[in-house]
Amino acid sequence: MLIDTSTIGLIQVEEDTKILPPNVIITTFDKIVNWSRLSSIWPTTFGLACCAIEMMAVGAAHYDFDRFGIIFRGSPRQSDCLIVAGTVTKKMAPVVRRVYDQIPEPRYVVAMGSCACTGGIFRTYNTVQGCGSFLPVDVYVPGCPPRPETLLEGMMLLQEKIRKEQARWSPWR
Amino acid sequence: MTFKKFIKTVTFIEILKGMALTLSRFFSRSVTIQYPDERRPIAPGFRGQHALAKHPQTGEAKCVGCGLCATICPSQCIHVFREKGKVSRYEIEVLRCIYCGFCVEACPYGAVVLTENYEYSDYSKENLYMTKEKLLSNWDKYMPGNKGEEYFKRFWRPMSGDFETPSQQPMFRGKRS
Repeated sequence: MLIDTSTIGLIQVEEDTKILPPNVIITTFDKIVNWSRLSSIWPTTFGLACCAIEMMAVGAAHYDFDRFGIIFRGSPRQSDCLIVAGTVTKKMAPVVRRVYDQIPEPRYVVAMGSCACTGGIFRTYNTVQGCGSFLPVDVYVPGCPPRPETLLEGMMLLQEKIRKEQARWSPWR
Repeated sequence: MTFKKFIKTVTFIEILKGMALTLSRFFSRSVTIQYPDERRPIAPGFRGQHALAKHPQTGEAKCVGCGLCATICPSQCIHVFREKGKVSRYEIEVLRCIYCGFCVEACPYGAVVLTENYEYSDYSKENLYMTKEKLLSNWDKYMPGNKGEEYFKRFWRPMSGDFETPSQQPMFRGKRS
């Protein structure tokens, strides 16, 4: 710990998350950090099923993810967002988790489509009933598959979430 | 190697052709739809978010709670509960739905609809668990006026309207009084 936190009086923003009391320096720094993070969300190139086709369509010319600074990266170590696009089978779940674990902090997860959100039509023994069971999902994007606009809206919701973050850069985050 | 092929190879005709195409795209109109500002028009009969139809006169749900939609739903995401002959709870797990439209097809009363709304991503699962109140408000929001009636007439009309039984044909016509 760099600062003795016992005397400062940390503020609890959510469960298990305490931050420094907001002041001019911290909030301004928050704004800069959040702005730079939200305008360059780099998702991993990682598709599991048919939703991945729609994800590619969003990346292509008609909808164009690049307008939002969202560029697909080939390696999870270079990216900061995981779009779970498709059915997560029980066999694939460890792989998804491993890809997520390789992403450096701060990392975000977007569950895209019915299958990734809850398991969808596959109420079976070999499908994970929602990737929320082993990943901290930030945004749920409904649809089967979602329209490209819906995924874009989901990513914009994620940007809004990042915009509201407080002191995610600090050692007490 | 023929002379013609030799000339082609030496002068890079093919590369120049490709570059000409690239250059022509440079001046043509961009195909990108600037999403939050403009939207691609939705095809009629698009299957989006769910809604429960309201009766135009009474303003209550048309649903009687027969449970046909829940039965036919392939992902079993509709839960219907009845109490004293009325629907007490009508819930749809939107995140499980696959938007097949079977529920709309199965409903004999035209009570459940798939509206044209597709922007309803959320941060939590609970907000996307649609209760009866939410579904009814969806009807007001996305099927204003007689849009809902038109929608049913155009895409989901009962098939009995397509056939007429000739009066001579023997069939069960109910009890004669």
